[in-house]
Amino acid sequence: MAERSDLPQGTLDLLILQVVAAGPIHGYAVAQRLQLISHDVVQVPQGSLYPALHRLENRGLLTADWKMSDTGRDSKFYRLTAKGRKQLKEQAASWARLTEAIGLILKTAGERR
Amino acid sequence: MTWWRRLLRSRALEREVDAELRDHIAREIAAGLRAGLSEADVRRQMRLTSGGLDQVKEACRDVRRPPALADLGADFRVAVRMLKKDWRFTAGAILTLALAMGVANTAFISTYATLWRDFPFERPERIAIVRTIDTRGRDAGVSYLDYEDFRRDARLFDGPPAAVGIATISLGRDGAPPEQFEGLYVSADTFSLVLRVKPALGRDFAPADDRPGAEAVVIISSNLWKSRYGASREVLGRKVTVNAVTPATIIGVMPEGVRFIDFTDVWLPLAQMPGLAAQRRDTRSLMMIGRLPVAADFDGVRTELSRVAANLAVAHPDTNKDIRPDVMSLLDAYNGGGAMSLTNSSIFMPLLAAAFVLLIAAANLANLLMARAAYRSREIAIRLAIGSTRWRIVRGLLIESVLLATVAWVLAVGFSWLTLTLSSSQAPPQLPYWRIKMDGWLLATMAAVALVTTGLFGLAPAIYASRRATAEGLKEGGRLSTPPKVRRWTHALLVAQFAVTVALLNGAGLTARRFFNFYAVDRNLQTSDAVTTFLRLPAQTYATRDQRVAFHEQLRARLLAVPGVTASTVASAAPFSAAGRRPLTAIDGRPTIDPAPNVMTVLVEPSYFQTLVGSLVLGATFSELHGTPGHEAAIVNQRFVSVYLGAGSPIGRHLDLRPPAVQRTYLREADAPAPPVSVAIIGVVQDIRQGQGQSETVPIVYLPFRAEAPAAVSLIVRGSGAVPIVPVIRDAVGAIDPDLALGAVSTLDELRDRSRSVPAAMTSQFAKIGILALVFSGMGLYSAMAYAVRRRTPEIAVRMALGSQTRQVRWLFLKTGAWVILVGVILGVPGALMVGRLLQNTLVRTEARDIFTLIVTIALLAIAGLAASIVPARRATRLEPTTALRIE
Repeated sequence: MAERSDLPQGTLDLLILQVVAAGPIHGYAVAQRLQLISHDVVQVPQGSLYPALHRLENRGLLTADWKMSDTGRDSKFYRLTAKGRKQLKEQAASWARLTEAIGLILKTAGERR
Repeated sequence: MTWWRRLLRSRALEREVDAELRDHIAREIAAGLRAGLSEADVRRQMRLTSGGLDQVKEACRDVRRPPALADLGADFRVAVRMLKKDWRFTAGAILTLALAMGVANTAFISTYATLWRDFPFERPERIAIVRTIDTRGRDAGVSYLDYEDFRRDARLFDGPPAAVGIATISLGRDGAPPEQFEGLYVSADTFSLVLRVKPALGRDFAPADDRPGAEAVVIISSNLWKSRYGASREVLGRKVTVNAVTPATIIGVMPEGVRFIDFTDVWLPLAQMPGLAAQRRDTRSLMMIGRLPVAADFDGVRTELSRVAANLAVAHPDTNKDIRPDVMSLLDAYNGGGAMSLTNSSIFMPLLAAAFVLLIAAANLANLLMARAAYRSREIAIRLAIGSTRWRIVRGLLIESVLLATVAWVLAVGFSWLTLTLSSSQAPPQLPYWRIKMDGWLLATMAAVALVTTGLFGLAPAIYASRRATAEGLKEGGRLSTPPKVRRWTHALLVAQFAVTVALLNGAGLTARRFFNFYAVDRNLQTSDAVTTFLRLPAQTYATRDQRVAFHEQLRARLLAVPGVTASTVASAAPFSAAGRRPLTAIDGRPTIDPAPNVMTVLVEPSYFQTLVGSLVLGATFSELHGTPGHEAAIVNQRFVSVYLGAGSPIGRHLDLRPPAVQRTYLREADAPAPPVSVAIIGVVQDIRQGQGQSETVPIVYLPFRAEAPAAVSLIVRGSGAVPIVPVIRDAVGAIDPDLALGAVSTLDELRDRSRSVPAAMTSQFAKIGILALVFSGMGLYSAMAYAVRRRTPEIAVRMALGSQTRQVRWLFLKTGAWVILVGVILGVPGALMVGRLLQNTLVRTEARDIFTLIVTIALLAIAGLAASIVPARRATRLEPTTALRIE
């Protein structure tokens, strides 16, 4: 089994927003997509996923509806709100800046030695 | 969705989360089945990664609820359950806290009522009362002429000052039998400008009413309006006769609660005061009251008044030479001229004692809470292991504390309300404006104190317990172990409690002993079935002494003719009431010290002693001849003999007494001081208490009534109890003179109780506090011992199984108890002696070195403490060893 990395809460929120941005999606699918795209690196257990989804919903970044799903049962589908879209853009930009900076430090700091 | 909306819809949301999670699980299982796994495998894998369904739900729940309100409801229910389970602890804690707070509340409220009066005037703290004092320290009022001079200086007060004169005023010929009331002659602007209170009905005095020769007008109190005129609005304009001679009209009724000066029911303009115009400058019978000027304080007013007084001394040296103004605030004047302030021990002591009882109760509470915390460390350990946070546990314990405090507070408020209502209905003290009321601020403070105390004492052990509740706590004996440090604290607290209790109980004992000793003298008097009332014979109709003597002879004859009346007598002052004094200038011809001591003097009819005490100790009572010129005689009490006469028979010795210099203005008798009269002692009587608030028996000289026949007297009538006496008296008086008013009627019992109501109240308060301290200390020791027994039950079982006798086991516990008591007593004795020394300076004087009381106190404490130790010890020894071992 691939190594499971523990995601800090803020990062998980960002990932969820990104996944939901593509269109209405239910919780199980979010977890599946995250696992798939990251090649099994990011595996989010229920105990982290659903609290995160609800928290984002409470903060008004996501909104949810119960709709008929492919299984024939009703499922809760999440969508991004305008506020959520804005937050996603900001967080993604911020993350990109951070990773670039870390990358630079790692590269140059290594060269110095 | 906002948090509060989430709260309201919590059940619906709960179902939604449940549905969502089940949906997820179903999909997971479906995917697993497609991959070839069994449902059981999928479920197991999910549990491994996510924990159980409940845990996920819990996590979701935490997100939903606002942090502050999370699980408060559940915690509350748990707290109630825990308190109910350990009901002995709960009851003990609540009782301790409730009693302590109740006592403190009662003590504070009583003290507050005594020290701070409920004046119905505007800004009463700015009202000043002015009297005078001379260089010899003798106090007197202000004379009318001096008052007019003060009034001329507009800068002295805020507005003009007023002058008031106390008098007894009777109202009659208005449809009801004449009645006597406390009255006050006041200048016209007393109510409007100085006191700033308006009549509730009718009008205030106008300047036109306060002129010599004006028609008399009367303002009455709300009390009088209700009792005599049935609260009828027709009272305005009603005609009434004042003091049996002056026709007057009622023009106003004062609001409820206004009885200035103290129990006044009738006010008349100052100009109506008989003889006012003729008063000399050194007749100082009035009181001046005024409002402090806007930017000034009492010292400033004193300075200014002294300046004016100095000018007067220069202008009128023969009357004003040594006279200085004595300025007091209204409050000080009511509190005996500053004698009753917080620094006066007699007021201070019950308050201090109540504070100490609170401390003892707090110590008890601390012990109880500490024991409970240790007892529950196992439960706490389990809760921590399940996954509760420390904060949740501490919060739960805090909620328990808050519940305890709240219930205790409610009980305390109820208890003190009950006590105050009962005590104030029994014997209202003769203190004006004394109003018992529950003060909102005080209640709030008590609530705060209760919460802080329980919170603090509940918190420390709670934190301690939650910190210690590790694997150790989960072990078998974990629940019951206490580290030695905690045990030492418990013992230290107990020792402190006992020490304080020794001091308090001793103080209570000293006070009680002194009270009973001092007032034992009242037993000399037969007070049952005796009634007393005032009579004032108006000067117009009873100008001469012989007229007054004749009246009283008639009255006596009429009263004794009624079957059911066993005795009747007259005196210038009833027992337990204030009596006049006159200077004793010589004994057996030898002058006394200068200035001559003022001895209390009471003028009595010959039947006085027979009516009140039966027989004299020595000699005989006055005859009909005594009191006439050439037959001057006196009877003294035993105290007088021991103070002034020493050894040898008092009979036949001579005393020189100077009749009082200042006569009441309406008596129209000589104003100048009369020469001393020499009297021969013909008898000695037991001590009868006169006056109130004294700390020792006073020497009294009794003179024959007929020598002066004062106009104002007390009539004392004793009946067989078969017939109501009051109507009999009224009829008899009315038959002789229908205009004559009777004053307030009281039984001798009432008079006696009222005269010692303040020391009685304080003694009982102190006693209650002492007993409460004892109860608390006993309770504290008991619970500590009970807990120790429970903790050491396995040890006891082992000991007994190994062959210890019950006696030895019992001694093991008694030892601790005895040690605590012993050390407590040793530490407490100095405190007790100090309390005794403090009490020496109070109203109720005590002997500081009253060893007897100290021994009794210690004995009581020892008995209580040992009993408290024995009972749990005995319970321990009765256990079967095997049962004891099984008990965890």
